[in-house]
Amino acid sequence: MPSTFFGVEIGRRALTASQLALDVIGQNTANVGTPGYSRQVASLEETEPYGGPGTGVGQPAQLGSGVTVASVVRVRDEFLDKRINSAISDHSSLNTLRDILSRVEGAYGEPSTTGIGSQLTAFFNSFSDLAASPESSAVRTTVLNKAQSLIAAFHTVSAGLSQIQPEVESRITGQVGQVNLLASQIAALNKQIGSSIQSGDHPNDLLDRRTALIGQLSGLVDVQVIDSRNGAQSTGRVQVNVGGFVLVDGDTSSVLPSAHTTVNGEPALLTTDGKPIPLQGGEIAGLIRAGTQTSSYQADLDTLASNVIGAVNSIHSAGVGLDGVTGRSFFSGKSAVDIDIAAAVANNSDAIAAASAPVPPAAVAAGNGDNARALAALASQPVIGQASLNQYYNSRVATVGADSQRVQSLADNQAKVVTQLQNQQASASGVNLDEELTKLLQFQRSYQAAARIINVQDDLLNRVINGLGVGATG
Amino acid sequence: MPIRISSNQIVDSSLAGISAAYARFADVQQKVNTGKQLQKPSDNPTGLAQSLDFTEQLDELDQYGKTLDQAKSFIATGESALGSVNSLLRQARTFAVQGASDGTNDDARRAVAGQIQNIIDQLGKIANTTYGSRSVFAGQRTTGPALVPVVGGYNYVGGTAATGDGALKLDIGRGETITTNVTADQVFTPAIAALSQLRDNVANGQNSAVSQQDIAAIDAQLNRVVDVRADFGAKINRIDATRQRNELTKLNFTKFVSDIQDTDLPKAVVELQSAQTAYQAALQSTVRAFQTSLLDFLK
Repeated sequence: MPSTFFGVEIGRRALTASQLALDVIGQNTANVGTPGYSRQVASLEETEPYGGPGTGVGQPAQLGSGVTVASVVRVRDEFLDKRINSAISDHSSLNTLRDILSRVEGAYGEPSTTGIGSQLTAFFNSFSDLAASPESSAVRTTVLNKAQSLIAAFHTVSAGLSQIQPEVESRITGQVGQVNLLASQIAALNKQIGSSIQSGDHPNDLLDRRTALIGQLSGLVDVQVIDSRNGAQSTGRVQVNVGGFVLVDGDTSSVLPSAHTTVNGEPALLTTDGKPIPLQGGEIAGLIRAGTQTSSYQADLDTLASNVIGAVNSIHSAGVGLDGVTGRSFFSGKSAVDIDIAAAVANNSDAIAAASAPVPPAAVAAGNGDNARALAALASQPVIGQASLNQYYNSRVATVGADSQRVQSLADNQAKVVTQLQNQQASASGVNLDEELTKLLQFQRSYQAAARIINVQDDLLNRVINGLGVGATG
Repeated sequence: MPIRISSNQIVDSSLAGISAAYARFADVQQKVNTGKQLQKPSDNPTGLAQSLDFTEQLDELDQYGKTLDQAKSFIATGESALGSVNSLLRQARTFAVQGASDGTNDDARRAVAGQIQNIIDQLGKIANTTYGSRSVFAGQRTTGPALVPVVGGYNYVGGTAATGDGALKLDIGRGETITTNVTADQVFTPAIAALSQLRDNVANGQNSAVSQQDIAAIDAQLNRVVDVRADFGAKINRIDATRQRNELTKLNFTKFVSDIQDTDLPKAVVELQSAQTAYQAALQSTVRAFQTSLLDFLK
């Protein structure tokens, strides 16, 4: 036989369980807008029944003894998290590259009437004007002005590109620091979660925080997350690897180096003993790729500048200035950064070699514009391979555009993948207010019913304690 | 089991929908506002390369247009000067016929010889015709005169084919060069020599020399001038034809560049309309999505 107060105990257990369930609903409702929050569920369980084998003599069955909250667990698909993290890494890398490539495009500033392409055409056209009036000092000054504009265009684009490199470097250093900070936080959480699980708890909120941190980490580098196990039993800790480098192991974290390189064109970080850590995704990989790309654009621009300098100088030095002097260069410098008008020409427009060399002993003729014609014709002649200077420049700008376009569409696609996976996760672990409100009603009623059961039991006991035997004594 | 939708998902997808619709609206609006559909290289890399190529060729054609104008004016200046030379030589020929007739007395012959000297001096002036400040008949030595007066005639001091500074050349197309001048030593010097001979023979009454040699010499000079003028005329025709051809090419290139760079306005306006509608729809559906909740029905 169960005790007299058996029924009251069932009611008490029901009250407690309902209240706990209501608390969980409260927590879910409160965190409906919290990023990274996984909804929690109070899993109810029947308590141990009354009466084991042989004890239930004269009873129809084992008697149920009520309800208890076995555990409060978070609803989350851990495998989906791994896919989300890898998708975030890819997206973040592409997005970083996209941002920087769009700045590279901005540096070229095409299509425009002030870019290198237009200035190059205007520069060669000014030689065509010079061929028509080689004795005019006004036209000679115009040639110098056009050359100045071309040089300024080279300097502007080159400065725009060279600004990117140091910024990329400092961002890599900063983000590696951020990775190391996150790693130490994850290690600390590992410790808390591990000891919590060891004592049989469900550290739901700590798990959420760790998931969120790993998500942030994935934005910076591509990580591999492995559950640490003790035999078949999960310890609750995770090991976090970056390209084979163990970043977090249990309660300790290592320091990721910020030195970087590229191995077979792929970005990698370099440990102090010179071992590469290959990176596939994440902002840091995107930054390293962007740095490499930008350097190659810069190199192309320098190729163009050095060819402009070389081709113009070789024709110019064969010609003769109004002052009869030959063998002078028009440009000085070797690259897009230091291209300038040669000092001898810059201060003296008569030094521009518009004339071809006269037949000795004749002095140079002022109206001879044959060398200026040759310089003007350079505009449409093949200089770099089969390409004219302008064609080479156009193809470089088109390459930048195509690279940028490709990365844009890849980044857009990857963003859709991330959204879709996050939606799947949200579909499982996100809070739905209508659902919580429905459960609120359910447990409100179940609380009320439990209270009613205690009330009825109280009535019965009242009858037994106060009502029975009153007639006999009284 | 139906797919479970969390409250945040509705918020997120509403926000994503609104911002995507707004971004598209802004994008189309920019195309309409600027009139350009090619804003940066990545909008259309191939199209950009082509449009840059064509823009540069347009600039090049514009430059050739300027050169063609220059060449034409320069040649026309020379041509009109040679026109005067032509009529002066005809006058001289008339004087020659007059001076060679036996009835002319000494005074009259001297007067005719003076007239011929006049013509020689005029030729000397015309040889120094300038275009702007450039000597037209001095070869590449454009800053000085072609002929300078010396005792007993004129000396040519301009550039010559022999010293490599005779021809003034301009490029009027890729690899297409045109010579825009003739030097005074080719036209003026022999004409002046023939006229000097005529002047002396008239003054000395050498009638037979005048009628047998000098008139023929003047005719030869006249033919030479006519030949040069014909050459100049042909060059001007060639320049005009090139100009017309260039204008046609420019028209085609301009259209091509515009097709790549410029917004197709009617199409863009329709797109703008549809983008606006999509944006409004996104806003409206967001409002609807949050209008109802179980909370409305709980008391």
